[in-house]
Amino acid sequence: MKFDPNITFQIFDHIPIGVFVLKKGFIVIYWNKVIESLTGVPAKDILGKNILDFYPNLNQKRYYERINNIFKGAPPTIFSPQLHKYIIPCKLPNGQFRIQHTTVIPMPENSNSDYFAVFSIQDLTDETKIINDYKSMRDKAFFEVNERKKAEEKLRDFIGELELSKKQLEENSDQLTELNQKLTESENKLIESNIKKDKFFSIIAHDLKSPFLGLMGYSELLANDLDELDKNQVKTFAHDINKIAKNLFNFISNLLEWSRLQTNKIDYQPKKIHLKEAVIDTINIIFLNAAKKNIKIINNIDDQIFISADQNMLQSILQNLISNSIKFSNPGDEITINAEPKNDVVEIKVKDTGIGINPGQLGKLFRIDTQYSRKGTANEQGTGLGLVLCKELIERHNGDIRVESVLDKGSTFTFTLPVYKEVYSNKSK
Amino acid sequence: MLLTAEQIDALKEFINIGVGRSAAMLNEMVQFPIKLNVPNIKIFKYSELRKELSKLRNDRVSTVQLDFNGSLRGIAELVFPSISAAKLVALLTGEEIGSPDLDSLRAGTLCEVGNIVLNGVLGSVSNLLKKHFDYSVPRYHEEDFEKLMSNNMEENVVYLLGETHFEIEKLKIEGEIILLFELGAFEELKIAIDNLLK
Repeated sequence: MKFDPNITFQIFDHIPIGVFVLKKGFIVIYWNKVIESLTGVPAKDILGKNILDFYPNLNQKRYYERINNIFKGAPPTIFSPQLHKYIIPCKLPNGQFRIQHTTVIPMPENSNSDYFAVFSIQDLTDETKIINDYKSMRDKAFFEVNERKKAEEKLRDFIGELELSKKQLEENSDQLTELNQKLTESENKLIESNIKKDKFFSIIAHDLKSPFLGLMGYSELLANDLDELDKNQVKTFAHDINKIAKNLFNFISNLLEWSRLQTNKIDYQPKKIHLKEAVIDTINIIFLNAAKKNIKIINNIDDQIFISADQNMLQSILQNLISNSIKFSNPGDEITINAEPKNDVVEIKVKDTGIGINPGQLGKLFRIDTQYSRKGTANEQGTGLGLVLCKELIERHNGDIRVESVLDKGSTFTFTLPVYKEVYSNKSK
Repeated sequence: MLLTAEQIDALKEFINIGVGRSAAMLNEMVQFPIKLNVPNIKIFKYSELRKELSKLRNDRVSTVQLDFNGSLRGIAELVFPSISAAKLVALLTGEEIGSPDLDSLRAGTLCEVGNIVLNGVLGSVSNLLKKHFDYSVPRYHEEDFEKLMSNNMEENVVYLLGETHFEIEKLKIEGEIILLFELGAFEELKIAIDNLLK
């Protein structure tokens, strides 16, 4: 039976893909209905003609050679849609080309050793659209995920920066608080210092004035009325002048000492001191004052107690405290001085049976900014400086001072000074 | 039954020429030099062949397969690790590398690449042996290599395996060209080779 391509290939009219067949020389011998409709070229126009006249793109080397090999029985050839826009251009209504996957297979001609090239064109336009839609959806999703990631990263960075700033702010705030505290402390010191300075001037102004009035009065009397005065009167005035001058001298000494304490100009030179003897020395200096008021001073200090103290400072402390007791005691009262070693310190008590101090005033005693001063029972002048000085001198020795007092019953001033260790340990043996 | 050393050398040469031609075509497509190993040609029984093939790859692969029949029977196969296949397609189409699994469009592209390469090998071997083969249409597969190969083999058959590893170094694309001739056609192959060697 003779091979009739038209009959053999007719079956391709009934399958839904574009099929056409070429024989050697690129002559079209079959053109199915689907390819007719895809290309718009009717079979009758193209059958028996060279396809290269219709589709000159097939003249390109990459098509021509591969197709030409098929006529010699080469393996089937594929033209895929991503690598080839088209083999046979077929347009969509919108002017774009249909997407095709083309397979060319060799089919032996019966008459000779040549092969037909059977082209099947699979239309992938719809499938491609679906794939592309899916791809763009996927790309969009990827893009969004990436954007979200970037945004999250930015947010994380931002939070990190915020936390850093917050930490710095907190640090700054801490520094500021510290600075503020220092400033407040410094301001308080300044205020205190200013008060002290004011006090200092106030004391000079007030307390120096009175004794000078006395001195001027007596000296004027002596200068103007010397002839009218008898020898005894002159002697009395001279004594008074001397007494005032001495008091004034003491006062100025205290003032200077306090002033030098403030500016740290006093040398603190502690040494071993026999406490009882030191108290005796002090009593000797002020004994007359006590005697005048008929006040008894009892020194109860143990003979074995030695302290480590600056002699001049100790003298000032004792003199001030015992003088105060004398000032605020009535005739017949007693002043007792006791000392008791306690660990590393010796606690010294100066106790009187005098007029006592109003409890409301106790807090003011050791402060220069609330200077508390009153006259003694025999109108003795006070400066309000003595106890302030005492407190500072005692603090120089790392000690402290306190007061207990009952009105009309008397006061007890208790202070501590360091024990002289070596001696005391000897004693304990 | 077995090929002589001379016959094997001749076959190696043919496969080498064929692979060289395919590589030149692939090179033309990707515009990067392709490094080819000398083909390794051995004869195996079914069970040995499976072992031998499992040495080649054990990963998921994308392959294009072309069966041939006629005076000789066998399979020609272009094998890529999936990631290499995706890279190659991306390179040829200018797309981004998506997932290693290829959609039908990208599978079509790889199929054409395989088609060109395998036609090069088989056309060359066929020409040199002056034997005509009947061919199947190239098919694309994505599977574990071992499974893929065992699907295409039959027990009680002795195979001649020609295998070449290739690499596009700059792109980190690699793969194998595998030719598997069935023993059934073996005598004819021997005669064909001998005719040429005469």
